[in-house]
Amino acid sequence: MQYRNYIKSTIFLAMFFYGLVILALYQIEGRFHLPVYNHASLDSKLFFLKHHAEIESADTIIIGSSMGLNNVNGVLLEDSSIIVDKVVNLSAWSMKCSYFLPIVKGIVSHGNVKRVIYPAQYFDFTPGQEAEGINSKTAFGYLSRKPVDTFLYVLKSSKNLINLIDQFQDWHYFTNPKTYAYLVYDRTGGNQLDINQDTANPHRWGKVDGYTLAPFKEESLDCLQELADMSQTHHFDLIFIVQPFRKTVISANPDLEKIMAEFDEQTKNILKFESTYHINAHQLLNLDDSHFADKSHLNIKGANVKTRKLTEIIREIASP
Amino acid sequence: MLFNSYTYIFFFLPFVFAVYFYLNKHRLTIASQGVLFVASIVFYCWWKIEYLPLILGSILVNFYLGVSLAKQNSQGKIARKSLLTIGIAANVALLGFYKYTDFFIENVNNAFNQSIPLLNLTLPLAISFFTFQQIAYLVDSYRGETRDYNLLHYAVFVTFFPQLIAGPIVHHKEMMPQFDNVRNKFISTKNISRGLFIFTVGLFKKVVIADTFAIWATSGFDEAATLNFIDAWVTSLSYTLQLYYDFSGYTEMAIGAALLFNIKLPINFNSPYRALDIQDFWRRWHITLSRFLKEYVYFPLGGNRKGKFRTYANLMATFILGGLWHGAGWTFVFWGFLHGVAIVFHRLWRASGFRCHRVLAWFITFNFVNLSWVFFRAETWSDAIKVLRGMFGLEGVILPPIFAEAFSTLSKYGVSFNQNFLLLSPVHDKFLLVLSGVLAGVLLIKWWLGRISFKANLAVSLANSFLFVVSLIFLVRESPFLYFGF
Repeated sequence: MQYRNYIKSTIFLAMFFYGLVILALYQIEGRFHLPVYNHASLDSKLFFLKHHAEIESADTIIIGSSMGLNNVNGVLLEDSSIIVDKVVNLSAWSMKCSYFLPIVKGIVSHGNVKRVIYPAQYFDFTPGQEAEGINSKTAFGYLSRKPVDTFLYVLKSSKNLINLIDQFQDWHYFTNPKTYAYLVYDRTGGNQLDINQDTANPHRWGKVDGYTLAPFKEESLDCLQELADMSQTHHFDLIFIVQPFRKTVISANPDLEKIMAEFDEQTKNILKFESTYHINAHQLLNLDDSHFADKSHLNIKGANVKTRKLTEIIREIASP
Repeated sequence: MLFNSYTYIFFFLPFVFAVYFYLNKHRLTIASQGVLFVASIVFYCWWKIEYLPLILGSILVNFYLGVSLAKQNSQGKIARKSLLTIGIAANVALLGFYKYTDFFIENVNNAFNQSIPLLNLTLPLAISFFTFQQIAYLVDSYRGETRDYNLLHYAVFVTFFPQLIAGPIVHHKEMMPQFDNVRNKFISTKNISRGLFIFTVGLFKKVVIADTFAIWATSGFDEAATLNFIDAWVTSLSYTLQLYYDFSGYTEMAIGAALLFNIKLPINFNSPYRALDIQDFWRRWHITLSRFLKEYVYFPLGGNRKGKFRTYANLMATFILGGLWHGAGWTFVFWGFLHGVAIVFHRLWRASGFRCHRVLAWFITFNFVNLSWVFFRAETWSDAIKVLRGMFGLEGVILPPIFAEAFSTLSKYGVSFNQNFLLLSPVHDKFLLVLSGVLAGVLLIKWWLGRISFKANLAVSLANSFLFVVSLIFLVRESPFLYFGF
């Protein structure tokens, strides 16, 4: 073979193989999440939102990190509330406010959203590794099933294909509600952990380390401010919920108590519009250890208690 | 900019290639050299622009020093020697300032119980490499071995982007004539074919093999508090393989990319882990560094011409300096010391007339290299001790249950048999699979290439494109090369 032909055939074959990869990803795309952001929870959430949720008809969206994913029972909220009609949970693990803000922007601009529920704790605003930002236009295009945006997602995910293989291998963790990695969603896109004190990971249950005590970043609260401003311009209620924390952990760590008090104070100062509501669920519910899956995540029992209270709060807000 | 990034593979490299040969086609050869220089500077600054004046200043000073040294008749021998000493001292001072100042301060603080604040300087990328290359240029200019080079060619020689960051450490004699050669100004499909193949093999080695072993190495060295017997061996072997595949992968990508421009870089690795003695290892590992140390450190110290004792002392000095070149830390110095001792021991052994069976020789050499890498990789002494304690079974030995019957007597000595014999990381169970895959792949490739070598045929083209696409799938990691830190 001449060298010139060798180069041509190598380039052609490489394009052919890459084309096969793209085709395979198209096939996978309808059945399993693509590793677009290399983040199992976010990627599986985008897959869920595209294929199993009707975002356009949602009047209530839940946003946040695992605080939003695990700590509110969306199905119970839909069933028990006469105000809430359709819930969609956008939350994914460790999602910072700035990360999902573009998607929220897209949804409230195009949809029928009346309220946004944001369960969070101070560590959702601590410095940390930020995931690659979402392009709201492309993300919303993907969720709206636009072919070009879907192609861009497929193309982007081909870069992360190795992580998809890893996720396939670890899928048994993701389908087990007794693990913290549980990623099977109910019809709203949330899930609850079937973990209690006896089955909890001891480290997660009570240990307070440097990460736990990392102070929240005030600049990160700018995003909450932006969300609050958006609630005014797009006419929805923003219900911000400071999440419950295990009391025994707090009482043993005065620094933690101080951080939480400061967080409570600062978020209260931001959420002063008529359309914004600040709920401190830690103080309001005063939950004991039986409601927790670890020091800050609620289990099924805790999530249900919190959701019932949230139902009442939403009813009060809706009452003239 | 990383070789293993989309930006480099799909934009930077093709763009520079196209512009370079377009200009050459129109006989704008000086402009094409200028393009190579500018592209190399862009490549360098992609990481950090702050050190641009440093590399440019270093090039200018060394070039003019070299030109002055080369003018043999215009100056006396003493003046030229002084100039050479100043030149070398300036290069060493520059390297020393950025690389060793904090190390020096730390040691002063520890020795004299002081608290002098560290400077926390960021190590300028590639400084160890371009400093060595330029010291060699100065020495050769002094020896009258350099030709009448021009500044642009010299600048391209120092900054040529395929080898700028982590070598191979090239010699002006093997590079600058290539930049001059008119035949190299034309596109060569043969070189492109070979270049693409070598580049792809390097890319595959880096992103698929090295970065996979990196998971276990990082987990064992940096994250685990203690390591049991198997954990420790998985950790050390992972690093041994990671380092080889990472660095040789980088070098092959450099060689492949340079070939696209018709520039042949020297090989840097020749199956080093097949070495049968430590001297053999250093003939196969980082060949261009060994060459530099031999020609510019070992020989000037006297080499083996001043008696046995001086030979051994020179070898020790050369290897300790080699260790220090890799990093400012006592673990690097100790690594160099270990290799120096091994080389001296090997010489004594050979002189005494002893011989060793090939398999045993390989086993001893490989394990010595593997053990010594522990010091090379560990960030602190305690990390090194942690891994070594595990490797020697001092943190307990847990074996898979399948060995329980055959080795039941070992339980008397504290050996236990448990399904969880590896605790290292969530993916520990794949280590043996990956290791077997790599070994099988290496054997297959050796067998295949050994029979047919590189030929432009459909089978090689198929393998080339397949490996390239597989590498692209792994590219998400985009991790830097280990030798960027040196």
